[in-house]
Amino acid sequence: MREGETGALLTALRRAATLHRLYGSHHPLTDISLTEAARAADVLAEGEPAQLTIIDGSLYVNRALLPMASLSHSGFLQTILDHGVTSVTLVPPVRVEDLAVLTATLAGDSPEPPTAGSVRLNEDNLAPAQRDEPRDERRMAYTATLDLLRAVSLAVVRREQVSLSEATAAVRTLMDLCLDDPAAALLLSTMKNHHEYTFFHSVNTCILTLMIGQAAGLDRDDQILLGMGALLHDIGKVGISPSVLQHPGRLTPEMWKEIKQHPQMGAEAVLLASEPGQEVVAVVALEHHARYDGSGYPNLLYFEEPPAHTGSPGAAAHPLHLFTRLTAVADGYDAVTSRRAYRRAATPPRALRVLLDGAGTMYDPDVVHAFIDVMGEFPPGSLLRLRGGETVLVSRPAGDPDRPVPALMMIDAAGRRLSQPEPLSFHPGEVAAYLTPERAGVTPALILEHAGPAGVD
Amino acid sequence: MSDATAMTTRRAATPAPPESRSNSGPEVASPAAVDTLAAAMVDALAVAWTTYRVYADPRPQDAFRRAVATLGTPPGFPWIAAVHSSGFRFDGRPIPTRRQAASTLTRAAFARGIAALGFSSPPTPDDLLCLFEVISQRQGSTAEAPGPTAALAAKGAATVIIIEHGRLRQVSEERGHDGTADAAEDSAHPSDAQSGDPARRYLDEYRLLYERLRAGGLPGLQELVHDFTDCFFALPRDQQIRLFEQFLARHEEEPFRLLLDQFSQDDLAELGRLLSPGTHPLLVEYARIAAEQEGQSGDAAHMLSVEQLVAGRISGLLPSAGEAVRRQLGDALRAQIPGPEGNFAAATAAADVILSLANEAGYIRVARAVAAKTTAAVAEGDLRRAAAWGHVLLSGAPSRERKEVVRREVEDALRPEILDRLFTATELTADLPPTLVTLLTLFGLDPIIECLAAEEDMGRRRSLVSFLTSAARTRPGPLIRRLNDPRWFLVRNLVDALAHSGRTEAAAGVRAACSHPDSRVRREARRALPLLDEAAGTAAAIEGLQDREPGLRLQAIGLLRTAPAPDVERGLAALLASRPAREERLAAVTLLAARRTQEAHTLLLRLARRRPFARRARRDTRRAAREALAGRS
Ligand SMILES: [Fe+2]
Ligand SMILES: [Fe+2]
Repeated sequence: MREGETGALLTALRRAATLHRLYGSHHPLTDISLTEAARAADVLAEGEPAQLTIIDGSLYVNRALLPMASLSHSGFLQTILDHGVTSVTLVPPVRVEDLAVLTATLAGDSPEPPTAGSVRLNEDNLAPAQRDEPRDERRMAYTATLDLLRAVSLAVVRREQVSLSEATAAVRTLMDLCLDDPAAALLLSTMKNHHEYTFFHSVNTCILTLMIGQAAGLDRDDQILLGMGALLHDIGKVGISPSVLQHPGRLTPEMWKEIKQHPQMGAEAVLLASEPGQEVVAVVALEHHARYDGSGYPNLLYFEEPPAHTGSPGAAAHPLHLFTRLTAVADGYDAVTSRRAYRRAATPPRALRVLLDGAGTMYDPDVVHAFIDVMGEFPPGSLLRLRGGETVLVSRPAGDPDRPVPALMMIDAAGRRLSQPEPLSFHPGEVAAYLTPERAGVTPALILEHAGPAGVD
Repeated sequence: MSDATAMTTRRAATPAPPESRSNSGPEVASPAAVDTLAAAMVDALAVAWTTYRVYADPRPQDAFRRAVATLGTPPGFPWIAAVHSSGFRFDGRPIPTRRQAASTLTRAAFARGIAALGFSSPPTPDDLLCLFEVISQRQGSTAEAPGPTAALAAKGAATVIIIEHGRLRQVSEERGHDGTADAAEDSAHPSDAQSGDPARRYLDEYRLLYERLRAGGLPGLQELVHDFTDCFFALPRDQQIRLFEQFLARHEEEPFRLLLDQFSQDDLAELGRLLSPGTHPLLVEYARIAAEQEGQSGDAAHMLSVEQLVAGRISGLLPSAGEAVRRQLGDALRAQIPGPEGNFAAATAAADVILSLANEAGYIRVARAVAAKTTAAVAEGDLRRAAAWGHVLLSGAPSRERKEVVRREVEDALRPEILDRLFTATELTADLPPTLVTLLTLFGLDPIIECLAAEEDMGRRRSLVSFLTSAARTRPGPLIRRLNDPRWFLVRNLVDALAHSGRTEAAAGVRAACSHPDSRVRREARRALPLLDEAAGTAAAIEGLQDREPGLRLQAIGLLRTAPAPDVERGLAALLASRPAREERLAAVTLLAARRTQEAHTLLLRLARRRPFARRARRDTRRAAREALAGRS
């Protein structure tokens, strides 16, 4: 799995470059990361020289585009380009000292890019015609939606006229994906990128919300509005200063004050952009941090006097819009399973427990139950260690708590990574531990590229 | 955030290693004794610093000399204290001091890039002075300015030691941290320091970098914390546990709390399992505080161990799974789908909140958008929705400033085609919802008046005037203000609308319109005025008897029929004296006949008197007057 090894290599290199900047070279902590990177580089090169090339912001290994690594490491790839590096050739066995020169370059500390040794920079780049680009529709939909969010955010920041028509189209595409291949959609929603957390989080929340919406039987028109609400729920964060969003700890009261502005700022932007009939999208942005029990923020006066937007007679009236309650659960799930400025990612089953703990206070209990029903006890993308020692990746929901869970074995009982993951269903009783992607060294969404467009398992 | 308090609290829980960093021989002072001695040193430094700052030359001062003497008697040499922005530390612990100057000294030293300072032997007064000079020297803006170490060396202060931040790194790499006093763990495991134990390096580096970032306002803090978090997980398990125990013991200190907060619930559960029984309560305590601060209950899922989580299956916590339950759940949610109407109601309620929370600039933007939505609904012919958006504008404008914003935005949004839609499609005009009427009345009168001025179609003008008539009942101001408009036809329509407003404040304007150059305006104004102010109406009508337009004079006669004022007779006399047309004369006589006043009677008698050579006109008048008198008796 080139994606996996490349991802591991880039992560280790990024950390090594940072540590280099902090401590200088030859520091033990830098060495730990460099050793890790060298290991990943050797596995990636598989005995032959391998060339990593960045073209148009995408990463290629030899001739193959690595879409997932391109997506999830976009920030670091830009850093690499910023330091004048367009390609890295790895000649196994890759030596830690040679990688140290590369990290020194990336830390802005080395004038001479190496052209000999086991790591060479900027050797002749691949001509575009040589590229081999798999075009996976699902990934393209994801990427297109990210681009859209970037564009919308920019327009919001610049106070330019924003159109929601492209957002509508993007949601429609994601909606079809959720309908056609729910397991793939759920795997796709495990894409993470800390560098662009808000955008990835928004696309993931959109996918997950649409899945609940489909389960709840919303019609297409309602699903589009729901999906837009989920996609744009955090758009107000463009107005929050990065120092607050990136604060690596509990927020000070002043920071909280600023953070708490994002629902109304986002709702404002959406309301301004909305065409007649789309205004409800702003409701989701406004309400998404209001909790089911009426606490949270902002203070919605209508908790005392609910607006008349509850459904059919006989349905339990709740002041929060149904779309908000659906989005809030997906939002919470993706936030807990993502690395945040202030917290590392939790595992999917743990996240389900957090949701369940919040049912009735944070979240609408019915929606939480519906969500768990969609995701299964072990959501697709969960990484688990079985009692037998294997590390498996859940590929689709079991559908029934007593049925075996469909999964792929990524690492066998002897600790070997499989280049071709093997189907391996397991019974919940066999689970020994939950792992985060980072701990397991596996990026769940990569399995999509691996399995090809035919789907998983 | 107070490190000092946090440290003090912590010390009760986990006693710090007592060994001092001074080479005081094999005898080890007790922690309390070390603290007392360190405090005396810091107090002396603070006193000397104050003296230095007060006197041009502190050396002759008694206080300075006493301080120098105290600084010469530490537990041992070299004596070095770590410089933190918050104060001095010795052995990793803050040194308590009563002297304010101690903190200004450490801040200044810290800003100068000094990580630690001390003495290799008893300092001379001159050397101490040099130290202070180096510290108080402003950070040179040029790269060539010598660093503190170089500056000190240049001054030849041999007894003083300072360690700069950059230097500290070098020293710690070369000598396993022997150069600094600020490493509690160092002193606990002196042998590990030599072997470069990653866990201890980790703590030292982290604290050092954290302090440096803090001095610089903490940019890059996330990167630092994340890298150290990642590195933590790259360390061997036993080192992780050692560090984790350290973090927990110091969870009240900001830098360590930042690291602990990074741990996900899975991390905490997994590491928690491996803690020694003595440390486990610290984890529970940390988790309780963290959960409380996040508004969660302390015993929530995030404290469950992996085993508990794996064993307590989610499926067991749900009511039950299966097709029937799934269907029920789906039905329950489906029943709450609001539909277009519900969505719309929610959106307007949200717009209300957005407006109420918006700042000045945001308020303008949202008000503009809502005004546009109001008019868009009008354009669609959906007056109910228009009214709902209009309601948002009305309810969201509590202050004068905000009302002014709404007025501007509504005015802009009321483009001619919208007004056209509102006032010419008669079915719309007929059932304008009250909210829209209020909105237009409060904020839209100027464009409506402008529209009226431009409108050529009679029917549409009539419907606009009829709207303005009802609007003027609550808000005549905008109509009154426009009474001096140069377009006579507009003024006439405004007078018409004001006539039925019942608002007396409109009278003055209408009175003025009675002298309008255009007779059509004068006619309308004289007709309208008595409805607003009877006396003024009479006066205007009497004036009207002198109007240069015969038709208006006749109107005036008609208007005066019931007026009680004596001026009426005088006015009529003047009119008759001015040789008016027959019609006017007869009308005037008829009016005199109708008035039962003495003045009218006298005037009639005068008119009835026979006059030779009278012109035909006179004769008509006389006849009419005689008939009138006859009719009276
Ligand atoms: Fe949010
Ligand atoms: Fe969010």
